[in-house]
Amino acid sequence: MDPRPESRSGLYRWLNQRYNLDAALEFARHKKVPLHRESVWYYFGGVTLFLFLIQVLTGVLLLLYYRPGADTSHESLRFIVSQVEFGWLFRSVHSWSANLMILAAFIHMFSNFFTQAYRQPRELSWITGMLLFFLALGFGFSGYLLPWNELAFFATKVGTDIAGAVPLVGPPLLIFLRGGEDVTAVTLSRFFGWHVALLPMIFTLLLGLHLLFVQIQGMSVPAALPRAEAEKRSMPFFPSFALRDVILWLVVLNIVAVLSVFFPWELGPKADAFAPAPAGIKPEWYFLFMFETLKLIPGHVLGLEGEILGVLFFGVAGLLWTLVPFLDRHGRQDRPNPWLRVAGVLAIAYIVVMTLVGFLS
Amino acid sequence: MKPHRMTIFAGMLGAALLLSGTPAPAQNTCITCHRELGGDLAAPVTAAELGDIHAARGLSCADCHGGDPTAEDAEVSMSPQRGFMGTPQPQEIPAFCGRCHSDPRFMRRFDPAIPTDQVEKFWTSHHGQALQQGDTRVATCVDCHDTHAILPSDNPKSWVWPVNVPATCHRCHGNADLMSAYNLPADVYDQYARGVHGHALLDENDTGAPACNDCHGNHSATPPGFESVAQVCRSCHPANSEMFMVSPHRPAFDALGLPECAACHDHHEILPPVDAWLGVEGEHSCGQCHSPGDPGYQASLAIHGWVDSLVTAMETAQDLVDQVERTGIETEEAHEALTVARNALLKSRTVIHTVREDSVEQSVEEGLAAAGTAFRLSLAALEDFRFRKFGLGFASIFITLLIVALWLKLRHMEKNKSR
Amino acid sequence: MEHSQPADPSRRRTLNLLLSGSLVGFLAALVYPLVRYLIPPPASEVPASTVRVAKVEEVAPNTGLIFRFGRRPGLLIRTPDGTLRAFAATCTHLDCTVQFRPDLGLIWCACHNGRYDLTGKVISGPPPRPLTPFVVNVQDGDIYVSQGVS
Repeated sequence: MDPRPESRSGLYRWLNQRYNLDAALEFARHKKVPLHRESVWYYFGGVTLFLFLIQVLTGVLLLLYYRPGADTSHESLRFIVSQVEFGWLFRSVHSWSANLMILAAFIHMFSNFFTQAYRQPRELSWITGMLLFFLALGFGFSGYLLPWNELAFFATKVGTDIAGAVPLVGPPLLIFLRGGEDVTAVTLSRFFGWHVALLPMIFTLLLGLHLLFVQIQGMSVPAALPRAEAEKRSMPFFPSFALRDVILWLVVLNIVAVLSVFFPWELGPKADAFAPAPAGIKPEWYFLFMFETLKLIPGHVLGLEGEILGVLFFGVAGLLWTLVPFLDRHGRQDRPNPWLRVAGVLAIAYIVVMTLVGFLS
Repeated sequence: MKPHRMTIFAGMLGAALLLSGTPAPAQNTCITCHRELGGDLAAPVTAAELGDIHAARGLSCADCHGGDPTAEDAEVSMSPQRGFMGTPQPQEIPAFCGRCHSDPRFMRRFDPAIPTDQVEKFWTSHHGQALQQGDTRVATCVDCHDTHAILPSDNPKSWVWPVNVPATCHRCHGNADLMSAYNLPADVYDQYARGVHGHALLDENDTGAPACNDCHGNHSATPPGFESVAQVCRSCHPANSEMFMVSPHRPAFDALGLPECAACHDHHEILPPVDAWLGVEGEHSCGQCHSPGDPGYQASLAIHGWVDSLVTAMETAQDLVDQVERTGIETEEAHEALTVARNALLKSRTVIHTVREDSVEQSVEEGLAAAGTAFRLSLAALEDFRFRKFGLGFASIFITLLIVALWLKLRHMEKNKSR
Repeated sequence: MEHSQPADPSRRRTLNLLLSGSLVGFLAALVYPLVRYLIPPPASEVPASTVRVAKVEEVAPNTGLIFRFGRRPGLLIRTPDGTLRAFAATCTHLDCTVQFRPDLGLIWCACHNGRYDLTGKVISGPPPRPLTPFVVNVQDGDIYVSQGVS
């Protein structure tokens, strides 16, 4: 990278006159990333972003052959994985990368929680991040149904049933989600629409904001680290951080490729509304801890229906989690918050244990 | 007013009151007395209350046993003058039940489709014939249908519901003392339970599988003669019997006095047939009758060889399909081909009843072709998997190289910067 | 702005060569599957839920025809009065393949003598349930069978 403007090409000069590229480059040149013992967590946002880009690319490719519909979804997907050259690859990459993206998002979220990266002035980074996370879960839930296989069909039934248990708004929400009383071809159509049009649109807008905020404010330094020490060292964003990012992305890409070749995502038998529900209906792993909780709550607790209680609990917990920048008083004074630290550890322990219980049961 | 008229009016009113005051059906003194008597004498009452079909259809004690259920005095109600018959003797039981059950005009009031030939058939059975000769140890109606807790045969709790029939027969046919008097084995139930039919009916609850009565007849229970075994088996195994009937075995077996199907398959303990029976060694095998040198011996070796070749081909193909399955590659078409092969194997194992080598060969060839298709498709899939791994290796090498190059470049740039 | 001078120009050249070489290989590994994927396969997709079985004139009255319906066999029958019907050809007893018997005028399973009438209902034998019916449509002389939407 040659900083001398006179050595730039004509195209650069042409663009520069109109859009002031020099300023942007100047900004990039001075952009720095703090260097400390928690710096490694900075990479997970990038990994999530990279996996999202893979999702967009492979998603578009799958759209070339996928045909939504009760009579065509499963058939066209079978066609993709068995007839179209490398169809199996893009399908498996899409599924694997989706799961890894949720995993990376989990790590990104929890690392920012523990380092209190959400604190002033980055409240909106956290809020947009949480919204992106919920949207990612929405992507997962809607995408799971699209192969129209047995497991997805019944998992969607159960999943929408749980949404239907929300007090007051539940019943109309259930009708809205399913497009009727039951999971049918209509449900498939709307899930498809959300998955490929509505969710990507909102996601992209929020992602743009999320990234813009990071560019404006730079990386946050953990509140727990001594100020002086943490701000002393840093690395330039370009090339040091950016190239490390790219290297990590390549590693992730290779992992996805290995998983796709050796563990191609299963297609499973086609959904049959009249077949009895197969044993062991489970949602995707990232919903498993909630699913297990709902199963373990007794039918009635304190006069409330157990399921409603569970849904309310996760609703309130999710809301508090999203609003944590405004709840963390210590964080506002750049001090670590032992209470939230405990809450975070408990949340992780709970999620891990319940997910394991779900896997083993 | 004329008192005369008043008297008539009052009399009419009184009569009307009297009539309406009478309890509609008089209480059944059979039931009230027998319940009070307790013990064995109360048993019919408690049994009938368990859901007896006769009680449910409104029949009462007196409808079978006669007598007067309205009389308070036992002497009166159970007097022969009132038609009381008491407990019928074993010889009397078929006629006792037959009073109604052999009368189509009577029975159609309850069920127009119910058969009314049971008693007639019963007298043709071994049970019936022995009874006629005064042997009262044999089964009559009540031994299989119960006496006072009689359930319809389509009630799963009934003694004659298909799944319960073997146990019902076993109550007598499992009694070694009783059976020894007739020179009959007492372990028929165990033999049956070990066989395919017993397994299907008793373990799998497959009511399509035959219970005792499906081969022996129910009311006309008699063992089928050795020359009609195939006729009995064919009611469920038509293809096998048809082929046997036209095979050279049919006349040979009949001439030798061999019980057709049972000659190889046995009768109660009908074991799942295995291909080794087609060979010349061991129980059930062709070698029991055929010896080296005779044409049957040669045919047996050839037929066994054909069926074995299909089994082996299918196993090989299945192994390969399983391998493909483990790679996660779609194997739908190979599975379809294997299903075709399985059907051909099933057919071949049926066609062996013709004991004609060419017929078996023809049906085995169908299966071999399908198994071959499954094999080829799986090989192609495994080849595809190798290609996938190769592609992955190619990509991984370049990704690794790129990572190394980028890392070196980065180090280089950082070193220059810091200088 | 510091102007960097590499310590060893040949080393720098090797590094750039390695970088561009591996980048080309990497891009090839990306682009090749992508291009192959974009080429539509010759066999166009036939939805498995509808199958073209035969021409109408190929199925005479009082005959039956076994056809492949996805993973399992189907049975198309033409009754003596000319009506077309189709069923899953798997016997509801033990999954043998049933057949049409013109001599008996019914659907028959050779394994255990199960008999079904021409609407798929059980007449006699061990089958516990009727045959699963399919929907038959005739279009331009072609018979199409599809999974029923009941």
